[in-house]
Amino acid sequence: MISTEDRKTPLYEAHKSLNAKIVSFHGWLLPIQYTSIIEEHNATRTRAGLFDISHLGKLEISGKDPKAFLQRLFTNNIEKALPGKIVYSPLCNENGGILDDVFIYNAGDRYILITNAATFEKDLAWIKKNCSLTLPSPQGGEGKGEGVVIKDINDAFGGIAIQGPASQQILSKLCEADLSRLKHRHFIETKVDGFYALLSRSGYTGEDGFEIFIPADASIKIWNDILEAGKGYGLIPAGLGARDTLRLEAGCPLYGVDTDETKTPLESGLERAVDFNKDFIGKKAMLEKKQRGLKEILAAFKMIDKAIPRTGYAIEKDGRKIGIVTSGTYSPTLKENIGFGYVSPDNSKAGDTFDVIIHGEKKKAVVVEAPFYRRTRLVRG
Amino acid sequence: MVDLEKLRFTKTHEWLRVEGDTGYVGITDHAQKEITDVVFVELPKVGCEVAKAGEAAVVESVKAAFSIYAPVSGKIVKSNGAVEKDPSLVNKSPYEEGWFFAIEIKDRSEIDSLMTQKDYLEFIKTGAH
Repeated sequence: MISTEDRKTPLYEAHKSLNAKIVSFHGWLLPIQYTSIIEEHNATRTRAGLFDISHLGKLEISGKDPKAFLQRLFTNNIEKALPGKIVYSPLCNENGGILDDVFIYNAGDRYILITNAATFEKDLAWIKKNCSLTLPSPQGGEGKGEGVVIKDINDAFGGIAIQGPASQQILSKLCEADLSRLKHRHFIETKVDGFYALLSRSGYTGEDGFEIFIPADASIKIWNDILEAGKGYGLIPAGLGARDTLRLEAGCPLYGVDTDETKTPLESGLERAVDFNKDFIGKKAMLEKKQRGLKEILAAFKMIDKAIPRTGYAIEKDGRKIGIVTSGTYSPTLKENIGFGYVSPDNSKAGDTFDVIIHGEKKKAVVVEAPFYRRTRLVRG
Repeated sequence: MVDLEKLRFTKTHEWLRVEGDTGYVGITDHAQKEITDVVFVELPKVGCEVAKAGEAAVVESVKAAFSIYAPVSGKIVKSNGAVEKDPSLVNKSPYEEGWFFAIEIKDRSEIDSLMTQKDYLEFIKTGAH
């Protein structure tokens, strides 16, 4: 339901003039599609798609030794974030419950955190709370402890993602930097279309591509100029609908749907982003859980019977409920029906089969290794 | 071309085309635009009985599943295999190639309770759906 309290991204008017179908997404008015989800999905896989990602939360952490502070907050090892590099990490509470999953950019003198949209306020409160609790300073002051400075830079920046095999060629027309030298999960601070841009080779679609954060008031001009530059390459704007089918095929869980506070990274398949060799909030609870054994695990599955799994559908084995679907869709690339769901660990290995209850009927599914789709990488010659 | 004036409509956006004792059922152009990108259609089996306003089929887009309700009661006498094979027919040709199933109409008075094209257009314009 669209409400008057919903916020507009800096690109809202651009979506309106493109006749996008607008929906309310965690308090933001965003395009779900412009023409067709399948068309936008396929364009991103074969050519390029342009996405509004302005709703993502943006925070800047600077001051005295922010690395030590982030090490305690996040499960992944922040040492891996060398200057110019991005590290992905869950943010957990004391119970190991996932508060959010965040991209941490090391910009040398400061760190930039890119969070989910729905969780931004909660993250900010949590980070501030832990800042003043763990690092008390005589000056006090909200968000400041022992010289760590937490800055909300959400409204200052718009965000655009260009995703798909033609992304580099298109963006290079508007950017002086040699993008061919920028590696995956690395970023630069540069100019795009003449404006400051935090530009990374990254994304949420399983394709090559870039994400840029740019001054909010220049966002529409940059959006339109990228669309213009991409005309000869088949670039089209793509909405949240395509973003969801693309990320599912690429095996990326979505926070709030496939993971939340009731799950730890162990159940959610995010253990690769947890470093037990350092201290962090939630470590004790997670180690205890590891010892006790898990009750459920997020599994990727494909339907064998012809039916589409959807969020909330029950998963059964021999007539007994063993889990629940968290995400599901028709996969436009594979032309199969795919999903994610929590199941008991003894039913979570690739090749295990179970039934998904779809419109009151048992439909057979099989567990597969994620991702469902992996792009073919060009061999550098 | 189908004469839309001869069709009857439901508040749940199905259309009914009456040919003798048989009623063909599909969804309206307005509905297919709202649903967008139909990727899966599940049709009732020939021979089963459906009740007026009862769920008779399921149409799924990339994003969600939608129930299709029988505009009138009766026995299913045909189902459109072409639309099961190529669900995009619902988007491309909602009033012709994209039909779902045909019902042997039990009670013709049920037809009169449905909307005319004029009523239906008014219904969607007022946003009462």
